[in-house]
Amino acid sequence: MAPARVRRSEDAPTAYLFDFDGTLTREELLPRIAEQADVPEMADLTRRTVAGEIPFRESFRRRVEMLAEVPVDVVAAIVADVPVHERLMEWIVEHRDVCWVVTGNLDCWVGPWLDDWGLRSYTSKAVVRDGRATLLAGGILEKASVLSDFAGWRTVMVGDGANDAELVRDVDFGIATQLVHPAPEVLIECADCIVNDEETLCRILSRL
Amino acid sequence: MSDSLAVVISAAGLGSRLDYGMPKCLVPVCGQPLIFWQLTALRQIDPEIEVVVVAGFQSSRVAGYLRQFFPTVPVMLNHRFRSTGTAGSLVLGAGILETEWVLSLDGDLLLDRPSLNEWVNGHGAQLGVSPKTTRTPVGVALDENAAVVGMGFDIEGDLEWNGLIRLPRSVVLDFNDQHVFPNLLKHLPLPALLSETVEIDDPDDLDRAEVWLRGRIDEERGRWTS
Repeated sequence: MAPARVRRSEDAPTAYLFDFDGTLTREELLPRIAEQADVPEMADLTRRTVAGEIPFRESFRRRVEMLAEVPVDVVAAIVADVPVHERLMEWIVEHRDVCWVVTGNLDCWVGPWLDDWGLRSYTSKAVVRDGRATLLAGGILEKASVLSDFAGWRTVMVGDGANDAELVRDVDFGIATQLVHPAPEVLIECADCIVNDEETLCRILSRL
Repeated sequence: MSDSLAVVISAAGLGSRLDYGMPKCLVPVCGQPLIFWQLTALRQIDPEIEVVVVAGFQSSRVAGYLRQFFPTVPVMLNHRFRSTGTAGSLVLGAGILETEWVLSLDGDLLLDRPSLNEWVNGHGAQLGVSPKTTRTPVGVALDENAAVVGMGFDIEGDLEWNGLIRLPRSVVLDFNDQHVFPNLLKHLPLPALLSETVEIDDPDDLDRAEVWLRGRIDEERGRWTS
């Protein structure tokens, strides 16, 4: 009874999907933006979201509203400086033809960073007016919805947060990472594997 | 030249007979979780050896411990741990590896370092036997060449299978997801390797393990914790 989900298929190419915050980056993005852009109430909202007191969608909408007055280019500059998991990014760049970033962050915040790395992505959508972002109606990315674009692919998802759980559950092989913080219970319930360091993660990804 | 070998530690079970409220691999023996002694000994024998832990019951606790103390060890998750046997975990662990050979080690087993060294640095297929100590032993029958030719609860004699096996990964991947020993029957005869082990199933075993391990630590003058 070989676990078919683990093994590479000769018939289907493998698509590797990655969360952004805390997976590719060494820090969560929104608290970093909040701190550098001086939005102190964000830390409390983030804490309550992580604790499960506020649903992710509601929390995300509130966080975008809190950051509405911060110019988009200021946020993008903060994103540009966020420290990344360098070994993992090296692996992704080597395999960029089959890698996608799947993040709830707004396109206008992370777009320049993604362009710099040459990575394709799925993001939440905003409209920018006078240099400020406003979330589009229905613009929050439902991560699990991206799988409809990968019919005929074998899929791998790597993520660290509760909002990655559905996609980690629905792909062929889901990896929960604990590079920045312990994985939440809901993610572990959905994952096939838990990985604690970058080198091990890259080794496993190369086998999938 | 050594075989290309990786280790799968199966630690998914409930440990209900021990009734400690945590996975057996995290139960403290001589002040450290059982899995500490296994991983420390493996690392001291071969710092580069690849190890995968398969967790099920309270897997986040197992993953949390490994994150803190052995971060290079990944955790494969057996969500069906209540309905599968150890073979189910072993197949999951072996599925993520690429080595030719797999050493299967149960998460509730202690063995001394010289024995573990024989397993890691040995060659070919081997099946572990120990003097009978468990309550429901899987007895083993040996032929004149010290090969195991029979296994079963109904086999009498002084020796039992201790859960250790060293097999080609391709063989392990064909196992069904129930108990390991029925899966082994069609691969017999297998060379026996006698090891001194302590399996921890209940509180009495834990007391015995404490005494046994303390003796090994004294014998090796603290090398376990170096």
